[in-house]
Amino acid sequence: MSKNSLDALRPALDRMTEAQQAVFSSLSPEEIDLAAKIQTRLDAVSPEVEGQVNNTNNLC
Amino acid sequence: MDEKVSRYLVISEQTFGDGDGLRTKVLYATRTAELMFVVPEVADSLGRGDLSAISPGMLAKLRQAQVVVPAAEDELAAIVDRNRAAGRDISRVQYILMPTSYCNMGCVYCGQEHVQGRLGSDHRDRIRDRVLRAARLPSTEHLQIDWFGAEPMMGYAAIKDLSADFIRVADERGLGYSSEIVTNGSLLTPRNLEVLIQECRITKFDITIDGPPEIHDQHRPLKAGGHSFWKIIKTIKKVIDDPAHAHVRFEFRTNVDIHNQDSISRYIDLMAELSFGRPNVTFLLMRVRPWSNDVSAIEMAKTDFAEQELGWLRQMHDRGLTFMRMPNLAKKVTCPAVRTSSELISGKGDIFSCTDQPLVPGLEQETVLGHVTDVELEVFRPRGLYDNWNDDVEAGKSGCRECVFLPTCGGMCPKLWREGYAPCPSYKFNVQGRLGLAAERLGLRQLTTTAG
Repeated sequence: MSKNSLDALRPALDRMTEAQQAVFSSLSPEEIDLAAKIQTRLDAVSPEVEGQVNNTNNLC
Repeated sequence: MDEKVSRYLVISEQTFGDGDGLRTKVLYATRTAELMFVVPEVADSLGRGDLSAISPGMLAKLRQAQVVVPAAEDELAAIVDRNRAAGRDISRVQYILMPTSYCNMGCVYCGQEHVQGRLGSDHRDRIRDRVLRAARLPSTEHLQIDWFGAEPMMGYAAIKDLSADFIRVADERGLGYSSEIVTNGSLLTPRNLEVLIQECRITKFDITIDGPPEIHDQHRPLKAGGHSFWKIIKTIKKVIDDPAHAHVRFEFRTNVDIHNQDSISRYIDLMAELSFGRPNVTFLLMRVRPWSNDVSAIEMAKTDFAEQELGWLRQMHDRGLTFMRMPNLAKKVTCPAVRTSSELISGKGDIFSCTDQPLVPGLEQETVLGHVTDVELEVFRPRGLYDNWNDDVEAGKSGCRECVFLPTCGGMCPKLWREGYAPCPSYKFNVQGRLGLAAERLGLRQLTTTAG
């Protein structure tokens, strides 16, 4: 795992429970690298719209 | 533990990357509505149903997203049971209230027949009593009040009056409170919007705009004549810049049929130019479909719509407008008609389980479940036509039993299925393109196309 990957994931790692950290530590190096890069990109965009399509059926 | 790959999984056909070593495929776990970016080899292993080469850490993440499930699990039964339980959960109480039976618009595709008149004071008091009776149940934890029409703003006084009591009792009892309004927007003003947000605690406004000005005004004509596009747009523009309204979501919905489909691209450009690209303003495109009326002459074919929609969504992406790529909440309760503690009360005080029933000639009389003046009415409505919807799904009476999207869609509209019309959401037909948009949102681009 590269230092860059670890740095990118540090905030997320700090929020993890021990069990989550155990899961994380058993990812492959390639998976950790990908997770880090995706996390960096997610942090750079505004949050996705939350919810469902068409909660109240309507045409109005 | 013996495990298998869930049947409720969509894997991107494409691989995405950044040209600098990052390679990923996108998973959409429909049981949890979770999007995951995984290394392509993991996605390919899942596609083959082979879990042997996946790392322990990735397997744990896949279990959490319910991409990997116990081998012995009957997943259809698990989803249907999950949805049944959610439909029976009475901790959340929802009332959809129509404060009037009239609408000031006469949209070409509307299946409702509007009649003049607002809620009388007696009916209003009965509705108040009925809602508060449910709010005071020991089991109630959350009260949801949705204002619906006809055009609910024709009954603005009732909204203000009733909301005050609903909020007071919810606060006294420590309940969660949420409220949305489905409105054509033409009667909104900065002043009444402020009241609706601050006093009535409405946090979501569903406003329908059917295209650029001249198209919208033709597609959604005011009965009294005149135009509504610019009035609606200017009103919303005035309020969205107030930081105090940052928690309020404005959703611009566009009903698309053969008459306005050619103008959607121009509409998207216009809304972007008007600076509506912001997190709390969202855009939704919906195909016009039957509302107990015959729209066959104007509706778009599902697959045609899905194909065109993908282009419109891409344009929204490029222009910075906010929209939902894929749902990120699993839909356990597909609509109010399948939830014990949801009901609609019409402008005449009639009680329904389904939003498509009131104001529809013939159907209204056949499907009414009671009236707010009935003294023997139980706290929750009598069972309606669709409370056994999940039995229909399990028995294969709709197209949902075999559908990979059942957990995120829930079946969409039981009424339409019973009428022989498949109301499937457009993402069923363009999910691969939408997964691509999810990758593009993160600045990734398609690297290859995988055969098969």
